[in-house]
Amino acid sequence: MIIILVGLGISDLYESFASAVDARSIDALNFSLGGYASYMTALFLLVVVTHLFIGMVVFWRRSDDWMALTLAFALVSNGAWLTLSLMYPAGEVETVLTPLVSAVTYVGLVSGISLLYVFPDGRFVPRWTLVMVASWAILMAFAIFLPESFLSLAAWPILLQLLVLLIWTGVGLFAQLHRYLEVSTPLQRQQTKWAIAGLVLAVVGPFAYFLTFVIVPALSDPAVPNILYQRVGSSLFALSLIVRLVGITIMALATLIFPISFVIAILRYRLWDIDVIINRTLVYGALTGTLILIYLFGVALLQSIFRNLTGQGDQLAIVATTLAIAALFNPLRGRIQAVIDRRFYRRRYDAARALAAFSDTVQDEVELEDVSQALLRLVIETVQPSQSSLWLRDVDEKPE
Amino acid sequence: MPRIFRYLVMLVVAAVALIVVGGIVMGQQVDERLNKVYEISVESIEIPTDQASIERGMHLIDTVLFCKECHGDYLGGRLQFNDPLTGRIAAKNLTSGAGGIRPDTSDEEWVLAIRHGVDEDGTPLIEMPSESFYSLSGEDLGAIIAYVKSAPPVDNELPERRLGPFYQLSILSNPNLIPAEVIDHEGDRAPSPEPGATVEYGKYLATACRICHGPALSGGPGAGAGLDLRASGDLSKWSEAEFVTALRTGETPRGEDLDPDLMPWERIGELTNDELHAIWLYLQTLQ
Repeated sequence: MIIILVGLGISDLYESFASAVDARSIDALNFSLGGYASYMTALFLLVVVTHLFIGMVVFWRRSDDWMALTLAFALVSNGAWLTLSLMYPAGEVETVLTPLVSAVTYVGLVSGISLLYVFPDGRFVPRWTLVMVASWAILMAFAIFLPESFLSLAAWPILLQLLVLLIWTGVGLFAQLHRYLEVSTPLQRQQTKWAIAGLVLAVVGPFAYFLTFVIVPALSDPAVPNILYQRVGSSLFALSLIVRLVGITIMALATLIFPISFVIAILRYRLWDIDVIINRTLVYGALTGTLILIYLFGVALLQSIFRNLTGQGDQLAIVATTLAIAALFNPLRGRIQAVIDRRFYRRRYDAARALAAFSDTVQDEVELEDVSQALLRLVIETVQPSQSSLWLRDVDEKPE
Repeated sequence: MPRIFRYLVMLVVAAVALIVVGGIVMGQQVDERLNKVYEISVESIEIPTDQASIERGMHLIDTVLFCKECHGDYLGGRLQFNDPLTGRIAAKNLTSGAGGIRPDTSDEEWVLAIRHGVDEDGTPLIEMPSESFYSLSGEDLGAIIAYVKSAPPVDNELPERRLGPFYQLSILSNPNLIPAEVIDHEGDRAPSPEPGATVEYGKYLATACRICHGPALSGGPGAGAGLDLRASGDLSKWSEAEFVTALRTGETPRGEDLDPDLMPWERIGELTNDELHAIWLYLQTLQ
């Protein structure tokens, strides 16, 4: 449903960006209106697609685990609601799609904060935090479905809205801290410490987008009379537009931390054991992107070289670059795999390195005592036990 | 903490400190300039009360000086900026309604504001294009003040001015934002031309055009800047009739629409035929 909604709204999103910006400021920065609108549209679509992809993978592999299922819904709806709200703005012409967009927004806003309270085991710790989630769900229901009501958060002053957001996020953080210190197992701690950063940003990130309009609402207001614009000077408006662009880009990238943090938790700490698919996607995604870049750059470079040397050579450049790509495929895949293993598969990577180092050490050793010490040192360094000892069977001792 | 993060934190702290110190220095410089008190001996102007003068004042305000672009259609003032980075800046409510000009504002105070860009307390106004209005004749200035005084009251309470860092930066980079600083307050004023279809009167009427089209009316490379109005400029292939049509209908000889947000042709189009002819004659003298 979200894919259809987003697909149908892309042109509206582009139009909304193109029409809501002051063309004079775009001009002052030597941008084009189309380029600006395309950049903004691509940025928002990147957020949606990343959330959607991770959410779909989690759903596909672990739809039997309701915590994973909640995360999948949270990812998909959180990634989409802000973009959808721009594609189908509230208060404008209502279509048959409007209730669907409201529903996605509601699920996104409620599931994001709920996860903050119940991740990773689905229980409310402490129990009273259930009240926080329930009250948030009610507040959001008024805000989205009855925006004119006095209980609607959307109708409250901006400072009060921020205060509410701070309280609910703050208590959620407290709950996670309490859980981390008092309840979680060591593995859960490793898994959650990554996920929490993402969860907080999932709750706060989209609001940060609207905050940029609060901080700099006049930045690119097309309604500023030209006489005032010329009087004040275009640099003020251009500077303001830059601030907004940077702010929105940072917001979008910060929003991506939500899915990325779960990817890290999944890959590095084997959350829900669905790391293989993510690992393959990362490797082959990065490989494809790199090969495309190499291909485009290679073709352009070789064409220009051949043209300068022979006056032609387009076909030759394409053939040469294609052969180079074919030759690069395997070594590049190995390199990317190694980088991703080093970043995310520490255990495998560290174990492989440690074993390699140990074998280097022992192949030159003939003293049993030295080998024993090296083995103990390896165990201490890699496993970090509270104590360690090594028993060796006496060669003269006969088994019973 | 890894070394790279340490350097990153140090970099961020240094950048923040630099911004804070720079902001404080900038704020002090701007405050100093905005708190300067100007002591100007204001020329005495006779403010007429007859209907013809009031209508003349309205005509000038609407079509020549573009006061309503900033002060609003009923001169009731307008909030121009209101955000933390730009600040809170409003064009004043010029009427006698709530939030408007003091009822006992003297004629000298009106002259001080319009012609010299100085407020009633002697501090400079910002944004007011007084350097363009300095050349207004005493008669026309009197008519303008008469019209503003007669404008129906508009209740519009506007907030106190607060300049944000972006606006302070603009003040430092754009001297025209404090017109009192660029006006020679004791300088001679060119004799006012008689109204009529003459080059001199055209020049007189085109005074506010310079805000967008530049001091030489040669346009500019800046975003939203006006066309080059000189005889050899963007209008070189236009006839006078096409010039008048463009200003009356908003359509150029090439069939393109003038954007009213960029070019207030709807206001300028209210000028009389003689006035438009005078402006055309003047533009033809510019090389």
